[in-house]
Amino acid sequence: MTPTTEAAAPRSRWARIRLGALGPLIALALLMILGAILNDHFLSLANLANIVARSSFIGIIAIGATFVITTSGIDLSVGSMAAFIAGMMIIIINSLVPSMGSGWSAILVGILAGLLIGTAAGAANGILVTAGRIEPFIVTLGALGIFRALITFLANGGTLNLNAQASDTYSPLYSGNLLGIPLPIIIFALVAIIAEVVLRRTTFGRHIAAIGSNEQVARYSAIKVDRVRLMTYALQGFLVALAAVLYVPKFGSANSSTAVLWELQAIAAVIIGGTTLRGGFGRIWGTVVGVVILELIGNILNLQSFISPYLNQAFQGAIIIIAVLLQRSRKTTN
Amino acid sequence: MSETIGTAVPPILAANRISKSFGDIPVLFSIDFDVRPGEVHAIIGENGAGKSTLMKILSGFEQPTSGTIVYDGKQVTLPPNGEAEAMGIVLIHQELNLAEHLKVVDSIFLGREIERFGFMDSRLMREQAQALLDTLHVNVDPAARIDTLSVADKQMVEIAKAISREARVLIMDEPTAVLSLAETQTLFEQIHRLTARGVAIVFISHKLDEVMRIANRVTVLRDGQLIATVDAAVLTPDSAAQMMVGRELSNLYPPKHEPDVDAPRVLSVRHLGAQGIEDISFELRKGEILGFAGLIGSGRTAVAEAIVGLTHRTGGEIDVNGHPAHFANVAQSVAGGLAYMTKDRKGKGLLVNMGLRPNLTLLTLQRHLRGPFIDTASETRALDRAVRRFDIRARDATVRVGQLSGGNQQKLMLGKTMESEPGIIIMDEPTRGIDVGTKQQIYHIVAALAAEGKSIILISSELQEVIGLSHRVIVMRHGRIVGELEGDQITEEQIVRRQMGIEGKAAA
Amino acid sequence: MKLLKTTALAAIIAGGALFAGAAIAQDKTYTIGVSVPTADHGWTGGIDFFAQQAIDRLGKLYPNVKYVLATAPDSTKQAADLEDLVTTRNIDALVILPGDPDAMTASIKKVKDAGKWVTIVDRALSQPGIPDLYVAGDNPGLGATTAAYFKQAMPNGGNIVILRGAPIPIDKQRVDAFMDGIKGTSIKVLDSQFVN
Repeated sequence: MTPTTEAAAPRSRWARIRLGALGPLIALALLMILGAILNDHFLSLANLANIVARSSFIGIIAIGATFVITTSGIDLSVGSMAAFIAGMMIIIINSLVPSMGSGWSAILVGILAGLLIGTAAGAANGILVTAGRIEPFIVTLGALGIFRALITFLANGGTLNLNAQASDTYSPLYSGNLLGIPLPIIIFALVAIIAEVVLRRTTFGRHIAAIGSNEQVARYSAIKVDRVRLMTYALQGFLVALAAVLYVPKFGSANSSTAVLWELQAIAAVIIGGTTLRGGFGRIWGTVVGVVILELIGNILNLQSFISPYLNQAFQGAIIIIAVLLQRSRKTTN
Repeated sequence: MSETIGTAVPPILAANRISKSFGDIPVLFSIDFDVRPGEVHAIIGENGAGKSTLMKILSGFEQPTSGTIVYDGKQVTLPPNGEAEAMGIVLIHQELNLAEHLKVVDSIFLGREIERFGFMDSRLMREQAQALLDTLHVNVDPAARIDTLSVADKQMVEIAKAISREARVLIMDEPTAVLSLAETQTLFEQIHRLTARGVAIVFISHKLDEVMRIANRVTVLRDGQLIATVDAAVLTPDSAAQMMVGRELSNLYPPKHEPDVDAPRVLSVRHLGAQGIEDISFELRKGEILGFAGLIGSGRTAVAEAIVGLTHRTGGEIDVNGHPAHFANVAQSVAGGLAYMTKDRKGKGLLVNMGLRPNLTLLTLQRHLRGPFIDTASETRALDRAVRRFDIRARDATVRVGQLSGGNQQKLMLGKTMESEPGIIIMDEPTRGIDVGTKQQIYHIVAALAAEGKSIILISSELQEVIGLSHRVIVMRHGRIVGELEGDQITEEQIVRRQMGIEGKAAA
Repeated sequence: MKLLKTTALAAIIAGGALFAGAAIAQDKTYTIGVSVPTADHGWTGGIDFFAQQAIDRLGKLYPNVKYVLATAPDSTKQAADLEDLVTTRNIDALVILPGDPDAMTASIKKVKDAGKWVTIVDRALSQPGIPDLYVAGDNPGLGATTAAYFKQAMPNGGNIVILRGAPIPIDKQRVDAFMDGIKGTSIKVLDSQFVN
C-alpha cells in the first residue's frame, strides 16, 4: 500500500470513534436540558446531589459489573447478594450493640464483616465459573436464588431492622457530607476513578480486556485466565458489599424485597455506557454516566405531572435501546 | 494442464477500468480483468496488492468507485451482500462461510430449502445433496455436522453449495492455504470437473507452483495496479515473483549458516508423550534451525504445545540448556526462554479487535511498568522498534490488527514473540497465507535470528520452505517421529517418502 | 377490601383537608405530595385509582392547593420520590402509604425534619412519633373479630393454617390480635407462613 494518502485517513477515523464514545454524554446533556426546562429546581445543587448520591448504590455495583462484563462474563446475583450482605450486617451490628454499645466500633465491625462476606461470595461465584467450568450466567442465576432465599430466611419472612441507636450513629455515612459534598458521592467518585485507572493503566486491566476479546489468545499469551476471572468476580462481590455499606444507613432494614432487580439496572447502566456485552472493551466513566442517566429518568418524570408515573420503566427501557442503537451505528460505519 | 481457451469464446464476467477508493484512499487503479467460461484465471500479488478488493467487486460485495462490470454480455450493477449468488457469481471466502452447527445438507440448501405443504422436505433435500456430492466425488455424509469435517471437506461442501446454486463464475480466495498435498490434488480434480462443465473460475493463491499447474491465465497485481495478464504457459516462478514484487527475487531463501559442530544443546526432549503424540525424542542445538515436516494432522503442533505447557504431558522429559524443565503453563515456558508462535494467528495469536500496541506487549507487560501502571510511552517505543525491525506496515497507528494484511499480522506476531527475548522459538506455519515478498522477509529474519544464536524449531507444511531454511529436518507421521534428515539428505523426495510412510523407518 | 380503599380516600381527604383548610385562610398556593406504591395487585390498584380520584376532586374544591402524585415499585424508588418531592416540587405536606415501612422510616423522618406536615396511611413505621396524622384500618380489631368468628365456627376446636400477608407491622398487629383471640380454645395452628 502506498503511504501517500495517510494524512487524510486518521482524522476522519478519529472523529468517528469519538462520536461513538460521546453518545452517552450527549444523552446525559439532553436529559439535563429537559429537566431544566421542566422545573426550576432541577438544576439546584440539592436536587443534583440527591440524584448522584442515589446513583451510588447501583453505580458502585455497576462498576464491578463493568469488570466482569469486560472479561465476557456476567453476574446476575448482585441484587440478591446486596440484600444478603445488608441483612448480615444488620444482624452482626445488632448482636454487637449490647456488648460494644451503639457507637462506631460495632458499626465498623459490621462494615468489615460485610466487605469480607461480599468478597467471599463473589469469589465463590468465581470459583464455580473457573474451576467448576460452569457458565457464568448459570452460576450467578443460581446464586441469585440462593442469596434471595438466604435473606428471606435470615429475616424469617419478615424484615431485619437495624438497632435504632446504631442507626442514628450510622446514618451520617449516607446523609453526611465532606466539604459540602455528600459522602456517598465522594465514595462513588473514588471508586470510579480507581476503577478507571486500574482498567486502563494496569496489567490487570489489560489482561481483563484481552480475556474478553479472545480467551484463547490470552491463554496462548501466558495470561493466567482463570486467576484473572476469579479476581473480577471477587472484586464485584467486594463492590456489592460497599454498596450495601452505603445502603444500610439510608434504609436501615433488609428483607426479601430489598435490592430486587438491581442486577438488571446495573447491567443496563454498563451497556448504556458503552461497554460491550460480549467483552473485550470496558468503559468505567460510561458506566457512571449510564447509572446517572437511569436515575435521571425517574427524577425527570417526577418533575412534571402530565406523564403518568407508571411509564417510568417504559422510558428506561426505551433509553437503553436507543443508547445501544446509537453505539451500534457508530461501530458499523467504522 | 495449461491449455489456452480459444480467444473466440467471449468472457462471461469482465471488469473494465475498475477503480476503487475507500474514502480518500485509492486501492485499485483502472483494472481490466475478465474470465471465460471453462477457464481458470488466477490472480496473484502481494498482500495489499488489491486482490481481495477486486474479488469483492467481482462478486458484488463492494461497488467500484468507477468502471463497469459486464456479465453475460450485459453491463450490470451487481447486488450487494452475496445476492449476486442468485445471478450465478459465487465467492468462496478464505474463512469459509459455513455455520458450524448445521448439517451438510442443511448448509447446502440454506436459504433455498425445499418445502412440501409448508414443511421442509428433508428426504428430498438429502437425496439431492447426496447426488450432488457424488457427482463431485466428495466423500462426505450429508447428515454430518459441519464442525466434524476437516477443513478440506468443508471446502468441498462450499463448492457443492456453489454448484447447487448453478454457479457460472466461482471465485475462490486462497482455497489451498490450509490443504495438504493430497487434498489440493482432490480440489484440482474438482476444478477440472467444473471447468469441463463450463464454469469459470477465478483463483487467488500465493502458491506459485500450484497456480502454474491449474491456471490457464494469470493476472499479476501490484499496489492496486494491473501489472500483466499472461498465459500460464509462459510464466515461470521467478518471473511471476518478480512481477509481484517489482524487484529481483534471486535469493528467496537466505544462505544457510551451519551451526558449530560443538554448539551446546539448548533443548533436549526424551520420550515426550501427549494426546495424539508418542515417544517424541529429539535435540536442538544453539543457532540451529530444526525443521518439522509432516502431513497435516501428524502431530507437530501437538509436540510444540506439549513442550511449552499449553497441553498436558503424559510422559517424557525435557531439558533446557542442560537443566530439567517442566512447564505447566505458557508463563513458565516464556520465563524459561521458550516461545511458541501459533499457526492460528487470528484465533490464538493476536487480538484482532485491538490495536498493534496492546497486541505487541501482551506477553511482556511487566517490562513496561512504572509502579503499578502501564507506561504507554514505553510500549510505543517497543512498537516502533518492532515496526522497524520487522517492517510491519500499517495504514496508521490506530488500525486494529484485524485490518492488517496477513503478512503484517504475521510479522506483528513475530514481533510479539520476540519481545520476550526467547532463546528457543517454535514457529508453526510462519508463512501460511502470505505473499512471496513478505515470505522472503520472514525467511531472512529467521536466518538472522539463528545466526545471532537463537535456536528455532520450524514447523511447516510447505516442503520448499522446510528444505530452504532448515539445517536438519525431522519428519513426523501419525504422532510419531519417522525420520531425521541432515545436510544433503534433505530433499523433497526423502521427506515425502517418510511422510507417506513409504520409506522404512530411519534411525531416530 | 373496600374498607381500605375508603381508608385511603379518607386519608387523602383528611390529610388534605386538614391542611388545605388552613391553607384557604392564607390565600397562598400549597403543594401536597402523595406517594403510593405502584399498582401491582388489586388492592394497590384501588389505592392508586382512588387517590387519583381524590386528587381530582380536592383539586377542584380547594383551588389554591396543588397535588403531586408519585408511584414507586420499591422502597429505593419511593425514597427517591420523597427526595424529589421535597427538593423539586417544594411540597408543603406529604401523604404517604409506605410500601416497606421499615425501610422508609428514615426517609419519612427526613421529610418531617424538613418541616413538612406528614400523613401516613395504613402501614405504621418502625419508630413511633413521626407522622402528624396516621390513618389506618383497625388492625387489632380485624384480628380480634376474625378470632371471634373462628371461635364461633369451630366451638370444638380444630386445625387451621394461617396464610399471612406482607411481612410488615400491620400484618403483625392483625395476627397478634387473632392469636390473642383464640388463646384458650382448642383451635390448633398447624402452620403460619408469609405468602405475599
